[in-house]
Parts: sequence; structure tokens; C-alpha cells
Amino acid sequence: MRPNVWRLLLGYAPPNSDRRDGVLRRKRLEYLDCVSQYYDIPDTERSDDEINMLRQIAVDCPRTVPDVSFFQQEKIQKSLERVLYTWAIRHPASGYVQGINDLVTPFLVVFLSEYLEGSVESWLISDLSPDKLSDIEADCYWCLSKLLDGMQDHYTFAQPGIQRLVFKLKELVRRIDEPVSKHVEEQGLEFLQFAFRWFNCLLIREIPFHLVTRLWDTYLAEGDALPDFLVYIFASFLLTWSEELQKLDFQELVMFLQHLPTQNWTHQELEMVLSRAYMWHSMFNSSPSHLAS
Amino acid sequence: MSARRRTLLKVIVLGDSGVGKTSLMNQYVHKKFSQQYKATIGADFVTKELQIDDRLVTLQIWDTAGQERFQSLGVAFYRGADCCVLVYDVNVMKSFDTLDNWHDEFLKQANPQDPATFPFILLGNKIDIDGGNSRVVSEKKAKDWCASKGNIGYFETSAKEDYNVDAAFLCIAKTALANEHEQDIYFQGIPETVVTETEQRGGGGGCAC
Repeated sequence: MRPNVWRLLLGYAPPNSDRRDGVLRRKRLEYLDCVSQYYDIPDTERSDDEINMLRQIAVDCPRTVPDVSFFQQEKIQKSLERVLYTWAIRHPASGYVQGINDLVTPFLVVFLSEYLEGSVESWLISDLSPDKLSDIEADCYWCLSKLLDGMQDHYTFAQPGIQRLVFKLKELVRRIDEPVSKHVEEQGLEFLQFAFRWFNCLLIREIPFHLVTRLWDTYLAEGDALPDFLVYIFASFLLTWSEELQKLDFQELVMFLQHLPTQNWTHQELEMVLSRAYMWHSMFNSSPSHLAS
Repeated sequence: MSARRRTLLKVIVLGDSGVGKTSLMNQYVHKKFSQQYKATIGADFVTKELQIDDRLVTLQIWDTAGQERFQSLGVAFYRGADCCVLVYDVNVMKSFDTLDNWHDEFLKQANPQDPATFPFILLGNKIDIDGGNSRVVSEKKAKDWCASKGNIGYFETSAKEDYNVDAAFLCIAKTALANEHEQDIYFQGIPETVVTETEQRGGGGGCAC
């Protein structure tokens, strides 16, 4: 069910079920066209910038979720490379930015789960027909595009969208938990020094991979309102460790925040973060003056 | 609390994506090498304590992301740095060609008091690959570049084989410490005592410390 719901929430699959199969078929062909037009060409037909971008993507694909062996299969890495390069070429305002490679992985895992059983660790791509893999790759491309349409300025030059949200996060934390906010400031720690990665990779790097799909259920349900809601989720995530944070000095803070102890998290801890985010969002977001400095 | 004052030194590591910045950090701090690091986003942070002469020093090392897009973040990470480590891959010409850009961009964003004497170190990494047969940047070329930037120290390293990593970082620590001394002395208004330190550097290779 999840793959269908995600495709619907992102507006990739049309709500009208009579039209759905036809639209998806057409979109998947359109993606194949893009790949042959942009990716399957010799380097002599690419600009220097395009060659550099492809090189950067090729460097990053093998480094995507390296701790899950499934992603080390060459066919998966090539799929990822085609999706990222095609997306980057079609979004020249930002192009490829490191971390977008992480953002494809939840889609890949969810859409593959329609065909492969058991845990991701045990999946073999050879159990899947090339046609199916091609459809999944196209779905990943379109869903990535839909997701990022709402946050284009997160990845354009100087990443103003992320800068703005990091600032909002700092303000929200100050409003909710003054002692933490004060302590962080006294220690000279800037929110950008730890929260940049959170926004750039939508928290994928900070929690166990098996929890990411649950987190993304919430993201996708928010639709266009996602960027603002991210601020609440990340504030809630950060303040999970409110007491611990206040005991740490600058150096310890950075180390702690870069390696948060979420390895043993289950859905329960994540649900707590999300429900508290929802509560704070209801409290504050409709009353912006609560957040005014 | 330790009776002796601990000296904190802030080190920034820069260079193109995939040249091995994170691997160098982890080899130095954790004595580990892995082919499986994720691409660094923003910057990672590690620390290492070491003793230099009679001083206890803590290196706070910011291992930055290599993609150009993240350069605008520099201000948040570079400020207050005591030393900047530039890394390139001896097998990739482009990673050497972009050193000028990293060098200039760092000075622009860190905005140190005296850009002309701010300490840099250059590391040529991945010398183990293919027994050196795929190498495209010669040691001489790298040393010439170092000379042109005011005789900055140069080390050839292999994070994978733990070659020269400790030596490079010891030099980085000493260079950063020397810079701190110079600044202290500068503030006390006794500039002449520091001249020998800069004069000792030279040859463009290794470490003058």
C-alpha cells in the first residue's frame, strides 16, 4: 500500500484510478526518453560542467547508504546515477548537490518492496526483471522531482532555503526551550554547524535506515507545507536530548550532535519526535507572533 | 580540571570531493580505514589530543564537504581557524588545479588577520593507488605550487596505508601552534622573535617545525 500512497501523495500518480495506469506508463516512457537524451550520450556531447557533475555523481553513488549492502550492487548504483544525472540536467538552477543522492534511497526501497520480500539486507537485484527495475527507476525519478519541487531553493547557489530554515529552527528552539538555546549560544555553537546536514539530507543520516520510510510517510503527508514542518520535526528531534545537551561543552556538543545516539531507536522514539512536532506546530504555527523575536 | 592550560587549535580541512579528507581524518584519529564513508555534508568534526613539547594541545578538526556548492557555508566553519589543510588526490589533476580556488576562498571567508602569513599545509593523498603508476601530479609540481604560496609545508600521504598521516598532522599542529605564538607575540608587541620560525621553512617540502 505504501508505494501507491506515496505516488498519490506526491501527485505523481493521478487520484483517478481509471487514468492511473495510463499516466504512469506514459511518465515511465518519458523518463526513458530523458535518459537516452541526456545520460546515454558520449562525453564529447556534454559541456565541461556536465562532465564535472556526472563525475561528482559517480563519486557519490558508491558512497550512498554504504552500510546497507544492498546499495553496493552495481545495478542499483547505476540506476541511482541515471536518476540523479537526469534530475540534475533537468534542474539546472541547482544541478546535483551532494546529499540528494541520499534522498532517492527511501523511494528506491519503498518501490522495490512491491516486488522483493524480506529485509532490504537480503534483497538481490538479480531477482528483479529489467523491466520492473526500469519502472521503479522512473518512479524514483519522478517522485524525487516532485519532492524537490517544493524546496528548490534548498539546493540553489548558497542554499538560501536551508539557511532560512536553520534560522527558523534556532528561533523555534529559543521559544520552546530557552535553557538549551542559551547554552548552545554560550558555547559558541552555531545551528548551521549541525543542522545543515539535517536539512540537506532530510534527517536520513541521523536515524537508522529502517526508520526512514516512517519519517517519510509524515514528510509526504505534509505536501507543500513540508519545509515549514521540517523545522518543527527537527526542533523536536534536537530537544529529545534537552537535558544532555545542557551538560556538554562546545566540543562535546558538536561530537554529540554529529553522532546522535539513535542507533537503537525503534518506531516508538520516532513517533514521539513526530507527535511532539505536530503538537508544537499546532501551538505555534498558527500564531506567528509567538515566534517573533 | 587539568592544572596545565589546554591549548585548542582549530584546523580546517579543504579540497575536492573524493580526495580522501574524511579518510585522512579517520586514519589519524581512529586509526581506521574504510572504503565506505558517506560523502561529507556541511562538515564533520573530530578532535585529537597530543603533546607538543610541554604543551597539551587539542586539535579541533573540521572535515569539510568537497562540493563547491557548500563553499558558501565557509563562514560558519572557517572563522577562527589556526591552520588550513588543503588536500588533493595525486591521481586526479582537477583536484590539484582547484587548489588555488580553495586557498583563495578560504582566505576570503576566514578573513584572518594576516592573510599573507596564515598557515596552510598541503597533502597529496592516495599515493598508494596502483603502486603510483596512475599518478598525474608530480612531487615537484606540488612543491613548486607550495613554494609559490609562500613555502607552505607539503606531505605525500596514503590514508589507506597510514603513510605519513601522523607526521602530517603533527606538522599541522605545530604550524597552528606557531601561528598562535606569533599572534600572542604580535599582541604583546614583540614581533622580532618570530622571524626565525618563518625563515626556517623553505625547500617547499616536509615540515619546518
